[in-house]
Amino acid sequence: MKSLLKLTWVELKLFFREPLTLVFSFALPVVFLLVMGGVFGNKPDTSSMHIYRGVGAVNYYNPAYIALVLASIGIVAMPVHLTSYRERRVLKRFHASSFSVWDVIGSQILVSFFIAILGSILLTVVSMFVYHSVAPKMWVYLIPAFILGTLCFTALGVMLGAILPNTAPPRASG
Amino acid sequence: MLNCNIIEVANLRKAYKSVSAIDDISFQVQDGEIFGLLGPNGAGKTTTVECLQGLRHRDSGTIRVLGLDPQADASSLKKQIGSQLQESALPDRIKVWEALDLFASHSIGAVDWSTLIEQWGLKEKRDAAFGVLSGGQRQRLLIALALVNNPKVVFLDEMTTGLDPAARRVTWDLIRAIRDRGTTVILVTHFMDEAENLCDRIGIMNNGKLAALDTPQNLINIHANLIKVIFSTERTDIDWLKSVPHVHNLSRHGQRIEVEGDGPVLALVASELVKHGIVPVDLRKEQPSLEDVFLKITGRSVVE
Repeated sequence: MKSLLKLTWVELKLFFREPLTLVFSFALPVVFLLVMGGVFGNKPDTSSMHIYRGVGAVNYYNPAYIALVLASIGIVAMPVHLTSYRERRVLKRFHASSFSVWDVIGSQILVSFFIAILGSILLTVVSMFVYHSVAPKMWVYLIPAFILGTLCFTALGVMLGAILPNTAPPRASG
Repeated sequence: MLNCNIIEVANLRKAYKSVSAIDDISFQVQDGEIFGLLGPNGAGKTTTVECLQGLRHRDSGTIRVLGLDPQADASSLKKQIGSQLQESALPDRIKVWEALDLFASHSIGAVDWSTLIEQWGLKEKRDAAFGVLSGGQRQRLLIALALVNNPKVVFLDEMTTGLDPAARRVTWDLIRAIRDRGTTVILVTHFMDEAENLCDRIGIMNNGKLAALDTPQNLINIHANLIKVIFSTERTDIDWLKSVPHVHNLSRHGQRIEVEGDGPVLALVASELVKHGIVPVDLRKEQPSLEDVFLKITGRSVVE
């Protein structure tokens, strides 16, 4: 447990030292949100067409971009991170010092959760301030859905990191 | 303690697909020894030490390190050994002190890593990221990491690769100091001088087999036992040297005479020369080195 927490702390620091992943995880979704908000505004569509199911566009896109944060972690950041660790024999170095596979994977999942939570709060705060979007109401559904979503994408990230031979495919998909 | 073998290997075999990497090797390493594995590239040295560290699974044979099976007791073994792996790395943006702190936190009875930082000349680089370190600094950090858990046995695979000659000498002194504190050292190397200077015993590997195993001096005595006595003279009538006891061969290269022989050949040749009125100022002997042994056993010189 101690090694897991220590490794998570180090991984978290490493994450914040990587400008590219920072931009990908935090800035890009916010930029998308601002662009979409700029185009569609956040006035609920009251016509009979009911675009965005009758809510404002930003209310609609905010959760979608939260999912984008989760997806970018699982499909790009984590596979790139893990495959580069394997290529450079960092994993072997950990393995030789009896850091378990669960320490390594666990630290990645914890860091992913941290990024996901931070990214989601950032997006929601921006959309509330700029477009006065509605704060989440159904926390009972929101929290499990968020946890499940993050776990799904981190699981995908771990799997891709484990099976991809090198860093080229996840970088390309990014 | 009668049985002071810290490592016992018997009939170890390992193949990658159909290619045999280790072909039935057996040896023991004693407590407090600096044990070297020497051999050309692809001889199976790294595979052997990786099997010992539980990083690779053997095909057959038995291994005991500190009384443990590296496969079955991998986790408890790894806490008691130190590893410096060939060509391993750390994340580029991790700082020197963070790496040491991380690996130290993971082990019980870890040494104070600030001492290691000083010993291994990394004090100025304490806050530098791994990615910006020079090859030698990286190597020194990786050796320091191998020692951070105060291991009973430390495996060093090509530890002085990337170090300049001065740093290599310093490293040798540090390795001796580690041994003097009671740590057994397993050294994989292809540097002859390193093996000869540092190792108490050396195993020479070739094509997956352990071709020879002994102290450096015994290896030389057994496999390359002829001493060369060299001097210069203008005289050509020196064939009488062949009849001097312990002389085996005589060869002439211009004015330079090389006499090959064994045992007390230097003294005997010297006294005969004086008796015949030859008093060369450059009379010297060349001891056979480990390099000669290596050439003889493997049939090739080391590719560096």
